[in-house]
Amino acid sequence: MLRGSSNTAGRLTMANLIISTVCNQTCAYCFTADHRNGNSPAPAFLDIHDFNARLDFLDRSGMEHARLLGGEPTLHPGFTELVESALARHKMIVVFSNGLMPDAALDCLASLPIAVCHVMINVNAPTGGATDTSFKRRRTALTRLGERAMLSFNIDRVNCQPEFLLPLIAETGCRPLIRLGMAQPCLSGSNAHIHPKQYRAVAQIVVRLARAASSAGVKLDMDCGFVRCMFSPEELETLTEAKADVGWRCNPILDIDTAGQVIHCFPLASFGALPLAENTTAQALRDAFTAAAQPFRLAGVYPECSNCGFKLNGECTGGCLAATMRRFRSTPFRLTVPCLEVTV
Amino acid sequence: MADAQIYACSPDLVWLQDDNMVLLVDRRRRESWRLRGTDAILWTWTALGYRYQAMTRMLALLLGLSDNTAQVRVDEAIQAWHVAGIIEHGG
Amino acid sequence: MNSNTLSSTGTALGSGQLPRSSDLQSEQNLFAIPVLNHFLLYAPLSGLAALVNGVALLHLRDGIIDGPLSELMEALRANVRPAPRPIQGEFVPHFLGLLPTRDCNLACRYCGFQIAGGHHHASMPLTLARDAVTWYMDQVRQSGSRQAEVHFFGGEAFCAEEVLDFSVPLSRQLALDAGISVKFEVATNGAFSEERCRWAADHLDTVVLSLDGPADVQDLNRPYRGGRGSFQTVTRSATILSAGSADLYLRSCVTAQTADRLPEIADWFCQAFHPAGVCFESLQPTPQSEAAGLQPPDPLPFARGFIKAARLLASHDVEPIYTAADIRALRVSFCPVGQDVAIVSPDGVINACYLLQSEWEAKGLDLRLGRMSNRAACLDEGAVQAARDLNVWNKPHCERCFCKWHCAGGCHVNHQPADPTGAHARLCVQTRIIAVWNILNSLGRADLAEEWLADDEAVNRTEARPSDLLMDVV
Repeated sequence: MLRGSSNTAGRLTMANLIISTVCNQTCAYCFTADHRNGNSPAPAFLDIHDFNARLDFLDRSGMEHARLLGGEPTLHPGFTELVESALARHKMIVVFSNGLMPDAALDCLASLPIAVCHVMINVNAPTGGATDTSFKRRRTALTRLGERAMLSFNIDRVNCQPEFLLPLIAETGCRPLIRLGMAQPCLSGSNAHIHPKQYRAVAQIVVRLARAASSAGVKLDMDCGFVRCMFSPEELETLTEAKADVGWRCNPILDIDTAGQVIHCFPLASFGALPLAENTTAQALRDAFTAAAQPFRLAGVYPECSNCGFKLNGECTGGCLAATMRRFRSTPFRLTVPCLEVTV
Repeated sequence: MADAQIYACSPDLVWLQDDNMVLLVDRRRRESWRLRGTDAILWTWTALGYRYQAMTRMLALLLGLSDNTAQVRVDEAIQAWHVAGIIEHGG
Repeated sequence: MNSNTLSSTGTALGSGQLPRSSDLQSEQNLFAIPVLNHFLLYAPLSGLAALVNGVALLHLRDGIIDGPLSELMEALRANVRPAPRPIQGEFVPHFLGLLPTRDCNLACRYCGFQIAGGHHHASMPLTLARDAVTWYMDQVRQSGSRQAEVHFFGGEAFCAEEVLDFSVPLSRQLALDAGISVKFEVATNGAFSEERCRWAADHLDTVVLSLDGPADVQDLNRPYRGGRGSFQTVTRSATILSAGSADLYLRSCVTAQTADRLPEIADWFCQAFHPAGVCFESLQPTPQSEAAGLQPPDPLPFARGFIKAARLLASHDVEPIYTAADIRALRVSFCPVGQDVAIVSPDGVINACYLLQSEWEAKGLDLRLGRMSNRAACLDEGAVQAARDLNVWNKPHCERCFCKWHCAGGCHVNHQPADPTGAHARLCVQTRIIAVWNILNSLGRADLAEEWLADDEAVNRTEARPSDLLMDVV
């Protein structure tokens, strides 16, 4: 459900509304680095007038979800007002949070019916025992949100152990579902990320977690950027048995920042932005980004991708486009060709 | 000998090496080209900064061609790149 | 490794006669190594090990078996692979080694390859590279193999970069024509331009990059010929190679000064780069290293440092490499020598070894196999046989060592397995320690491995024995 609904053409209709560029965490893998460091810094918070314009955009794009993104979206000083505004437009509220939310925001979300509120809480592995106050606060938020919340985890190193998520779900009563991501590079590569050479090791983490999750009645929902060949046939079988939601996707997400600029996704913030004009629809934006990216899509994260049957038949996109584009380079060479008489 | 022609890589051009293929993309024009075989080898040498004469000599050795025939092959590739807009006259 | 953990107790032992195999080889390949209060029974040819106590060991030595010991012996004697043998028959090159030049742009303080001031070494002519590659690919095709390998060594191979720029596409073209695949590997110092580095990252399958450690180590050990430090350039290369498609292997030369820094170096490698593997090699003393005041590490600190580093590397999914103690491999020769590898030098001579001719000649060895002539390889059959004869079967000091099928006696040129007193040489000691640690870990006894490694006396008891054979236990 959180991945976005489909319109009649069966294409993804999803867009994230960035309402805050402020965050109270400094995750090394955060893929907003290029966006934060862009030429025209966006305002810290989206005002209510612009938020209503974003809701207009969702309406004309046929989207039922108001997906609120940050930074940390709950740090928006008018967070409650934005939520109420979206609810008044009959939107389902989807919040992408790190769980360290102000009380007012937590009160607001916890008071909403489960049917209209989903909060995805991204957690990092606890850093250690009693002193990890951030982890305690997340646990509190999860407990209060109950089934409104689900966990999200980004694999950002090959020696991470996400199994701690399973008792957290059991303890807090949040939904038995984990969104599992792989830390992707922003185009500059300035964030900590998983390199395609490390995907095999990541696959083993995913499979290990899927097995444990299945035993605990928890389902995995894999985010974009995974590739099919990172898993062996036996591992794919295990994921299927564990009812993990596997996919080898990379599409324009459409993240709309506080300045009204639309980007393909955070990792590709420096690939280019399009303005959110009054009549723009999500489909038009998605088509524009798809067209701009098309020549790069001929390749994938590995040299083998361009000849891979799974990519050619559309089963696998060849991985994260940002990771793929980081393989390209420019070479400002000059070549002097003497005008010689040639006799053959 | 007439004046030499100087070519430069289009500023919007980026490229990568894939299995048995060089993929070129012009970011502005959103065009792409796949170079294989001799064209890919010549592109690689050009990007590494080899001079025209060295490329001709190496190609002749590699393909077992006469120097003149190799020169024709190099010229054809450069001409095709120029026509496609991959390289431009550069001073 | 397929392994069993069996701890026998004296009270469990009954009597009975071990059905002695008449196969002497099996007795010569069954080893008993003291580890604290246990004995590690090790059968490398069946890939099995077990921990037993002293009483059980003596029963096993004397062929008195019953109860759990019979099960143990059955397991040890089952699935015994034949001992590895030297290659026989026609010479089919295992891989082609090309030495584009003996020249180098660095002046590593320990390097025996150092160039006398300003002397320039010739590059391999492209016609010779063409002939060598064409001959080799033809050999591969005729042998029916579907896989070819071309390795580039130096000096510094990229000091004659045109040889690589020419040989790689030529090999690919010939492989394509013959319907075989070809892989490329280079050993390099990484002191070259960004564009060159990207080429290596994109066109080669494996890059073995020498990087000794952080700036203070690298710049001290591996400066440019002018004395400037190489750290900045080489780490830039490591970063580019990390991002490319080639598998990056980092090779660090360890001195007495850096042995206790291996975990720190390993951690930095994992944080900064994406290596597929990290190889730590202890310094091979040379006149240059002695003049620079660099000493090889003592075996125990090296082994302890390597083991700590190995654990860290493994946790990052990076392969720790100390080839001599790799218990997964059975071999008769540690290096290309004797494995039918053709290494073509810039002057067209084909050698079995990539070290300098002067080095092996100084040790009384002749490792020339032939030379390229008239676009073909002219190999001397006697020389090929002589190279094949350099194997562990012909190294008497190794005969009773449990590690013999793994390290195969080490480098034929630079490693003497015993010192003048007959004791194990420094490299043997560290190899034996690391190998025991590997065996204990593959038995699932990391706890015992830790306890043993922390005990100087226990380690000394393990490694100092002149014979590891079960039948020699007293």
